[in-house]
Amino acid sequence: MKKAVGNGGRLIARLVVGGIAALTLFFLVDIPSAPPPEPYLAYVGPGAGFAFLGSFMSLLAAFLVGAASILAWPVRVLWRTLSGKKGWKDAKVRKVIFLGLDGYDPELAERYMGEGKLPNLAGLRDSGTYSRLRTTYPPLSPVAWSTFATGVNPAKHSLYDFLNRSMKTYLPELSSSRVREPARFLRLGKWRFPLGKASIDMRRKSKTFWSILGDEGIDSSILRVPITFPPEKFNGRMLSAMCTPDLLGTQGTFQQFTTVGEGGQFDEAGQQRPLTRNGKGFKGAIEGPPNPLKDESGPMIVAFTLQVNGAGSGKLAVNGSSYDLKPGEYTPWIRLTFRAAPGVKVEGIARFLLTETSPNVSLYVTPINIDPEKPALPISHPTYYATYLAKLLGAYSTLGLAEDTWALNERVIDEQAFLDQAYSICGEREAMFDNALDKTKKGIVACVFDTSDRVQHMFFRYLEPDHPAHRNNPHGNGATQYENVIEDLYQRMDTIVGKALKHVDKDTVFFVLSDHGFKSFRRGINLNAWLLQNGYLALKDGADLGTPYLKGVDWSRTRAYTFGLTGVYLNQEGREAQGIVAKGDAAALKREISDKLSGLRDDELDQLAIQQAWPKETIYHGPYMDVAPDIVIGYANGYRSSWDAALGKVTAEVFQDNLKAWSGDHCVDPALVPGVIFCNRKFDSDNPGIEDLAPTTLGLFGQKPPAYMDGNDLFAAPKT
Amino acid sequence: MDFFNLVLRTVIGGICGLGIGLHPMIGMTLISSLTGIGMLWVFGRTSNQDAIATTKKRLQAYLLEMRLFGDDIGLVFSAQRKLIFGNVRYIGLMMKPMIFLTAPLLLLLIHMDAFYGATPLVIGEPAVVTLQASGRFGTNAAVPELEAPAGIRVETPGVRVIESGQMSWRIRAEQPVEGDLKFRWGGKEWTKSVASGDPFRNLSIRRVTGLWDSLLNVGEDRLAQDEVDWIEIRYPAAEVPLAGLKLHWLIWFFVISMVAAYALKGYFGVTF
Repeated sequence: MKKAVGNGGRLIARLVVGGIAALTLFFLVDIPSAPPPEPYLAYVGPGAGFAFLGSFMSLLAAFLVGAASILAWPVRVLWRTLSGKKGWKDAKVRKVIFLGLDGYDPELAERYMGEGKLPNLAGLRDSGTYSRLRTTYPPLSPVAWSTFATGVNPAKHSLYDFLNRSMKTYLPELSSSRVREPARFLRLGKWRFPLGKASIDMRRKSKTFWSILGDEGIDSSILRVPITFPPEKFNGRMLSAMCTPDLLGTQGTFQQFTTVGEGGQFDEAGQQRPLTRNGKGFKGAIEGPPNPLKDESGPMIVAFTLQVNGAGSGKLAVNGSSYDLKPGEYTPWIRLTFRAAPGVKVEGIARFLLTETSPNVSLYVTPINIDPEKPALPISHPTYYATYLAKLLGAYSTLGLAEDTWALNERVIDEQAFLDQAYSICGEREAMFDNALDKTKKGIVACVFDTSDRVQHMFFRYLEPDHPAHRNNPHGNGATQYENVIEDLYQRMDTIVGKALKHVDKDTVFFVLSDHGFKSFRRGINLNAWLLQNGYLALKDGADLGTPYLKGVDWSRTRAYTFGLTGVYLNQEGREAQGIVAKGDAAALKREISDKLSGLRDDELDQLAIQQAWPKETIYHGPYMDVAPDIVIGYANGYRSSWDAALGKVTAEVFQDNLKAWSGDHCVDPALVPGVIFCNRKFDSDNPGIEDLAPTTLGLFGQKPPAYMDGNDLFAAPKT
Repeated sequence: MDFFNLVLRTVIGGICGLGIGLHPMIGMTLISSLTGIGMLWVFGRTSNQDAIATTKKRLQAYLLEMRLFGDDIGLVFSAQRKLIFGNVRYIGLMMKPMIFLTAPLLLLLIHMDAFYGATPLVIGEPAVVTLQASGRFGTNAAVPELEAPAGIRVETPGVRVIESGQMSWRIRAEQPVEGDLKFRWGGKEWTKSVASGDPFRNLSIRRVTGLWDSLLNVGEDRLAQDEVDWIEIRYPAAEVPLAGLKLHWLIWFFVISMVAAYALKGYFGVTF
C-alpha cells in the first residue's frame, strides 16, 4: 500500500518557517529604528539567512528538546517507580546483545574455526560457549526468528512458512502481514480520496521478549530481526525486516531496461521493460505503484534518460538529477518521486547498474525500496527511527529481502554485481548495528544480518564442482573466481563479531546465533506431481500441467496438495472451501501420506530424497494449529521443494535438477540444518534450541518467563 | 562608475517602480522574489550542496536522537554537543556562497535603499541641506550660496562650520517638486537633486565627488569639481505599508526574498 504525501501542507510550513527565520535574522542583525545612512552595513548576507533557517532553528529545537528531556527525566523515573514496573531491580546484566547471522552453518563454521579463519568466534567459543542450535519445524527464517522472538513453537506464533494458503481461494498469501487499503473512498470522477488510513496487520501471534521487557521499563534496539513488519509499538526502537514490501507492495520486483528482449514478467520477481532510442541516448520509464488517488489506474511512472559513453559507462538522468554510471558500479540510492496528483507524491529509492553497453544496452534497477527518510509505510518504531538512521547514516535498503537473489537467478545481474549489492547492504546494516550498540547503554540490542543467508543461497554451488547449477552458469564449470566466496563470507561475519565485541563488557551478555544452517540444493521435488501420481490430487479435465497457484487442480477430486516450501495440506471438508476429506478421515490420511513420503527415494540418482514427513500434531502444540500445514516435510540433504511446487504448479516429473544460481538451501529436515550459538558466558545445556533465547533473556533481566513459553532459560536449571 | 550606477538605477528603480501608483509592495514583492530566486540559483551553484545536505541531515538526526534516547541524559547532552559542532560546520559551508552573493546583493540593497529608504520632502516640513567642502572654509572667504527651484523655499542663510568645512541650510517644500538645488561658490556651480511630494521614487540623499563614495551613493552622477566632497539632503525616513503594518523596507525584503527562496528550493533542487 502506498501513502499519499500531501505537498500543500509542506509548502505552507516552509512559508511559515521561512518567514519566522527571516524575521529572526532581521532582529538579530543590528538595524537602527531610523533608516540607516548605510543600511547594507546591517546586511549579513543571504548565506547567513539560509544558515539561520537551518542552524538557528535546530539549535532552538535542540535547546527545547534538551530542556524538555532534562525536566522530564525525574518525572519519568518517578513514574516508573510508582507504576510498579520491576524494571532493573532483579536484572543480572546491564545489556544483552544478539548478533544474528542468518543461515550461519555449524559445519562450515566449525571447519573454518578449525582452520583458524574465524578468530573472534573461536575466541567466544573458547572463553564462553559454542553449540549447535536446534531450529524449528520447518527451518525457515520467518519461522525460526519468530520462535527466537517469542520463545514458542510455531503453533503458538502462527508462522509456518513465508506463505499461507487461503482456505477460501486456495491462493497463497503472505503469512506474516496483511496490508489493506482504506475501507472507504470519496470518489470524484476519476479521482478517489481515501477516507481513512490503510491498515497493516501483523499476523505473527504471541508476544516478543523485547515487548515483555519493555513493559517492565527495559529498553531495546531491535534492528532487522525477521518478521517485524509492521513494527510493533513497545518501549524501544525497531527497524522492520523480512517481509517489509517494496514500493510496489511486492517482496521485491526488480526492473531491467534493455534494448533487446520482449519485455514482460520474469519467471520470478522482476520485470523487463524497453529501453528505446532517444537521439544519441536512450529513454525508459520506471514503473511505480498504481496511483492511489485514481481507480484502476496504471502504474505511476518516472521517466529517465540514459547516455552511454562506451566502455561500460554512461550517464543517467532521472528526477531532475544526473548520475554517472561506471562499469560494474551501482549508483548510490536515488530517490524516485512518483507524482499521484499535483502536490501529492509517493517516494521510493532505488539503485541502478549498467549491465551491458555493447552491442545491446541494459540497465538494472533494484526493487524500489520504501524511502527510509520519508517512509510511505511504517517501517520502524517509532516511525521516525527509520528517518533518524537515514539522516545520520545515509539512505539504506528497507526491503525485507533486500538482496536481489531473483535478479541473479534470472541472470539480469552477474555474481559480482550480486555480491557487491549484498555487501553494500551488509555495510549499511553494520553502521546501524554499530550505532545501536553505541547508543543503547543498557537493555537489549538485537540485529540480524541476512547477508550470510543470501550469499550462501546463491553461491553454495561453488562448494560443489558437480552441482547441477553449473550447467546453467555462463562462467562454465571451471569458474574458480567465486570458490572462496563462502569462506570470505564467514570471515566477514567474524569481523562483524569482532567489532561488536568491543562493546561487550563484564555486565554484557553477547550472543551470536543463526536460525538455521545450510545444505546444497541440487534436486527439487514436486510433491504435487507425486500426489498426482499417487492419486491424492487430480487435475481438471484439459488442465495444463505447470499452471501456477493450483489453478488447474480439480478440488472435487483432490485430497492433498502442496505449495510453499515444506508443507502438504489436506483438502479438508469444512475447512477448505471445496474440501472433500472428512474431518474424521484426516488423521488416517495424514498418517498414510506421511508414511509414504518418509524415506522417499530419488530413483534416478538412487538417493534418499525425504528423510521424514511429520503429521503436524507430532511436532506442534498450540492454538494456531489450524493454520499449519497438515504434514511437514523434512527433505534430505541436497533436496528441496521444487521451484514449481513452491508456486503451486503440478508437473509431470517429481524430481528435477536445480539449475538456478539459488543453489543452497535449508528447507530440509531441521536435524540436518541446526544453527549456531556462541555466547561470551558459559551455559549448561547440551541441546539448546532457538526457542530458549527469549526465556533466557527474560531471566537475565530478572523476569520470570511466561508459562506459555516453550523454551528454557539456558542459564537456569532445565524445566522438569 | 556613473554609467554603471545609471544602469543599475534604471533597472532596479524600474522594477521597484512597477505598480507604484497602486501599491509600493507590488514592486517590493517583485524585486524581493526575484532576488530570492537569484540568491537560490547562485547559492546552488557556488555551495557544496552534497556537504550541506549531509550536514543538515545530520543536524536533523541529532534532534531526533534526543527524542529517541531521551531517557539517557548523557546521550541528550552528547547530541546537543554534536548539534553545536554541526551548526558550526553548517555555517562554515555557507561562507563560500556568501562570498559570491554579498557583493551583488550589497549593490542591490544600496539601490533599493535609494528607492525605499527615504521619502521625498514632505510639503510644509523643513529639512536640512549640507554641503561638505573639500577643505576648511577661510574666515573671510566667500561662502557657497544656495538657490532652490520653485516650490522649495530656503528658510535660513547658510551656517558655516569653519573647521569641518560644512555649510548647512534649512529648506522647506511648499509644493511637489522634482528639480535641482544650485550651489554657487567661487564662480563655480554644483547641483543636487531635490524632490518633494509622493513617496517611493529614486532619491539621492547624498551626491558625492569621490569614486568609492559613489559606490554607496548611487542616486546621482558624481559632482564634477573637487572643491566640494558631497552635498546631502536629510530626507525623512520611509516605511513600507501593508495592511496597516508599516515596516522598514529591509524587513519586507528579507521576509519576501527568504520565503521565495525557501518555497522554491525544491523546484531548483537547492539545499540550504
